[in-house]
Amino acid sequence: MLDIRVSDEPIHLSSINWESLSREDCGAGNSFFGMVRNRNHGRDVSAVAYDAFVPLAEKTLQEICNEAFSQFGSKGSIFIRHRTGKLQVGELSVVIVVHTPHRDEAFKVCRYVIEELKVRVPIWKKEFYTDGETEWLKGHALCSHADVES
Amino acid sequence: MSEGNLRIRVFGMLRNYSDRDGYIDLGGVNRSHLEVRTLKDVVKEYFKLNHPDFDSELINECAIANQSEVLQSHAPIGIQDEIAILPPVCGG
Repeated sequence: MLDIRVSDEPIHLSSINWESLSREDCGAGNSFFGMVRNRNHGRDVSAVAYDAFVPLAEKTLQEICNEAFSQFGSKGSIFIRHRTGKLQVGELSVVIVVHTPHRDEAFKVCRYVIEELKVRVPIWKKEFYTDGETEWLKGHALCSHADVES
Repeated sequence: MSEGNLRIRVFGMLRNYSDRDGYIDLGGVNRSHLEVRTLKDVVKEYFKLNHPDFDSELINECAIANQSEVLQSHAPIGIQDEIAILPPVCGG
């Protein structure tokens, strides 16, 4: 089961229905939380704005999750929330919760999803600095992925 | 018959050059023979003409996509598709 959403809705851990994410055939759960940090590349950060091509982002995340289950021979559930919009330091930008039958694949699937998310999902990040400047962060080009798969 | 104004969605750093809805208008373009690689040339010319401060060679690092996939360089641009240009990504 996949439950994936990219939206401007704030993420609060207290609002996640953790019990609903577990499955009777899954004995392991693993989670990853990403949040806005106050410093990056030597600059003081006050906020981050996320931009996303939402339909393609959610579809790509589904593909990544299915790849993860396939690659690590597992089944289970994955819950993903990723923010768009402007976030202050400390706010949650991404949450990934994985349930699998055993702990080894729970760790591997969770790690695979966040690492692939960072290089394949159409989401962009703009940092706001305490000195008033802003900058869109450099990232990973998607055009090479498309042509490699041809 | 497929000639018309081509508006494409832009994201990330390209939003600095878009309208309020996140689009740039490339003007009259015949979509019937347009492929991803030729669309990139059109976009580069657009930036050279309208935003000379922008390094249009950065378009080479961008991908072209519709709502369901990133398109390969030789793929045709569909007449009905909403097209987006995607700078290098950095989510998480």
